[in-house]
Amino acid sequence: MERAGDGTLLTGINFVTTILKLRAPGMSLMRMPMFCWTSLASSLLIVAAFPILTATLGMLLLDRYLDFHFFTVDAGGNSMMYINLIWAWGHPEVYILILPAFGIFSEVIATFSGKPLFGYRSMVVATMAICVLSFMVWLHHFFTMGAGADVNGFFGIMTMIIAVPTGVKVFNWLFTLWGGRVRFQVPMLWSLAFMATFTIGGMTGVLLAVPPADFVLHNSLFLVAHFHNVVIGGVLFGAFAGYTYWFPKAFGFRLHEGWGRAAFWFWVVGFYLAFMPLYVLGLEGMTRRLQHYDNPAWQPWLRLAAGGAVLIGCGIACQITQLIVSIRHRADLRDTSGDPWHGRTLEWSTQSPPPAFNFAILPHVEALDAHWRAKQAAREGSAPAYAAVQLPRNSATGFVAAFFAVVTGFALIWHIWWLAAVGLSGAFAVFVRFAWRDHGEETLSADAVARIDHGRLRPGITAAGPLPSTSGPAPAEAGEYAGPPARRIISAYGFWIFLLSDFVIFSGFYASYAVLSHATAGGPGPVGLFHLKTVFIETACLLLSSLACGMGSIAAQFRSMLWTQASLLLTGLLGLGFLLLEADELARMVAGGAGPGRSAFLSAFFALIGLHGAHVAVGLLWLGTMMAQFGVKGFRPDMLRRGLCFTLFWHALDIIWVGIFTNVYLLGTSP
Amino acid sequence: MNQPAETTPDTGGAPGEPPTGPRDVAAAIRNYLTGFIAAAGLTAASFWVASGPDLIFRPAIPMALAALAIAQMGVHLVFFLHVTTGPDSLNTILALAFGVFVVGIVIAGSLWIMVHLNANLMVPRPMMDMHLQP
Repeated sequence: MERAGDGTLLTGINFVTTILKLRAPGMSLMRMPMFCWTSLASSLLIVAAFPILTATLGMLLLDRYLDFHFFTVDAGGNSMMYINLIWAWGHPEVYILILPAFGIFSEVIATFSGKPLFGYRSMVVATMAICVLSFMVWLHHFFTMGAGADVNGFFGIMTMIIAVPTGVKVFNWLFTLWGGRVRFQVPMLWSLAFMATFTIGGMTGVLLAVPPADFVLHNSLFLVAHFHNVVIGGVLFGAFAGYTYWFPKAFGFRLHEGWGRAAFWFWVVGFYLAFMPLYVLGLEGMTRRLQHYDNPAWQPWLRLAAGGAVLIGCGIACQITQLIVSIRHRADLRDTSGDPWHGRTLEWSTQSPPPAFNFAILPHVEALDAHWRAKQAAREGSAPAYAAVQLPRNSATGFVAAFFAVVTGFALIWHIWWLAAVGLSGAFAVFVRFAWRDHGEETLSADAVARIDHGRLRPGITAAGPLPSTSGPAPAEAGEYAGPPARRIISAYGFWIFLLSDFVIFSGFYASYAVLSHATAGGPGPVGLFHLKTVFIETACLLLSSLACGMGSIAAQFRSMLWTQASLLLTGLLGLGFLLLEADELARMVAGGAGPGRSAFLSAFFALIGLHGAHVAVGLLWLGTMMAQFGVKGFRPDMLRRGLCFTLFWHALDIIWVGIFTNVYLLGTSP
Repeated sequence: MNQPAETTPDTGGAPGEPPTGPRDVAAAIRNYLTGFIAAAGLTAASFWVASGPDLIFRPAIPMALAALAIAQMGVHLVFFLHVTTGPDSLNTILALAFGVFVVGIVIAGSLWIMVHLNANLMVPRPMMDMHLQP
């Protein structure tokens, strides 16, 4: 799970960076399709929320493997803290799920109504409001754990407030439909069912957000019905709508319409039959996760729900059949136009499936719904001027690294320590090999691009014109978004986002430390343990090494190899000094009977300091690899990009240390 | 990535790049030294405050330490990570602001919740410890 969390995190970083930094010329943020906006919001939530999960699972692993005391009952651990942290991640997580679905519905409803999305700007504001508010509601998952009236009141009200932007969205979709020529094809059917179902789920959600009502309803089937209502009616229906909508774009043929409709009706009827009775059962007092029950009054409702589940099963069978039938009849269902739904956004201007380079000529975006406008204007393009395109090469790195990660995870679960070591060193070797790559990209010649692109310009659709841009990327107007910036800016920005997620991991560990800092369980406290003189020397080491790293980055900017390597060496030596001092400090504590297993306070302290130390150690490994590469390869642009990222990393570690030495060491020992 | 890097506009700085012009080595070094001296001064001040000098009202020490820490983090951000208020770094600043917001929520929210939970649910700490001593 920790591995999967890491993968999700990296995806989130990639999406945020791509959306914020790699848009086509003219595609200002307010011209982005709604799906991009919701993906951005969802990715931001991933970047900010998943580190909390990583931190929490890290603490749990430490508890289980190394006898730490974060969440244990003895030695001052606090199991409530686990619930708190899991939901601090868990609630943003449900918005990570639902926001992309909101984006899919926005695209589908606009396309099948033949109208622009109603209230685009309010939709953007609502999306970003949800993105921020979703971080302030997590306690509603444990109203009954005893936080008291003040805390419950705050989080209850925040939860009700988050229903407001969601309501704005529902009304925007309704007004998009209003007056449009609605085509009831399968993606649209899912969207309509969503609007009805999700509204019911949302309203029961607001009901549960009222703390006194929650005391009655919590842990009952009412809650079960509520979250299935929003997750199936929202996320799953959204995924089905998006699956049907974009399937022809991805694979070049449409899904069978008839089987799709059958699946839809089975699913929707089955859903209502299966989950609406659960609301009634919840109100009648049936709790969740019952192995058997002895109240005959529940029997009819449960039978009804079981019937609904059977219908949903039929729906799933229809979907599998649909896929098989569609693949067998793919010749009849082939999408030759690249635009089977009469779409509004630019992906429908490419072939289906799109070529590896997506757009033969980078479009110059002039407004929202760019493809729709181009079709309306029916612009006849002159012969496009093709240019060579750079593409990333295919790479097996991801798969091989994932293999070693699985080996590590398996070995850790079954306590096979040698295998875990093999897995970790294998993953590291793959990483170094990847970091050493020379040719990450290949170039497709202009001729090849033209040959592939001519497939798109078939008779019948040329009337729509190729793309609004006629002769290469048009120069951006003043004040307009000009397209992607230089690659070093993109790399550094992506790394910046990664660092922010790293800060959130530290904040999770620090929160635990702050909560547990008085749980010494009768063992030694900060005053006896922390030696400020050592801390002062450690701080000085790290500060000086930050300065040396800065000097190194200046030297690299002025292409002085000698000074760069000398500064980086000094950086590394000071970092190593810091690490050795810290290791010595921790080893002394363990020897003195104050190891992490002694008390929750010491567990949290060791974890926090150890995490920072591990970062420094990783930084040193990275530094060594990078110095060798500078030596072999010189100041190539890709090397300078890595140098820049390392500088960011090293300075960020210093900032984290500032938080640690003041708030842990100095605060702990101050009178 | 459709466009080769050479044709893209190369304006604006990346996060972490010095804002000084590419030719001005003295200004770049001066920038780092200024930051270093400020950071060293703030570090020394933190240690001095934590030693509990008579000059400072005792209960104010935690707040003073927090203020010094935030100031020093700001110095690091400005002089070492080169966060500026220029229009180029708008995205950088917004990402940072979102990160600070989430970090603040996680720490402050957890503390607030846990203090209330402890106050409402826990048996007094000494009893707990006695009860659980091995």
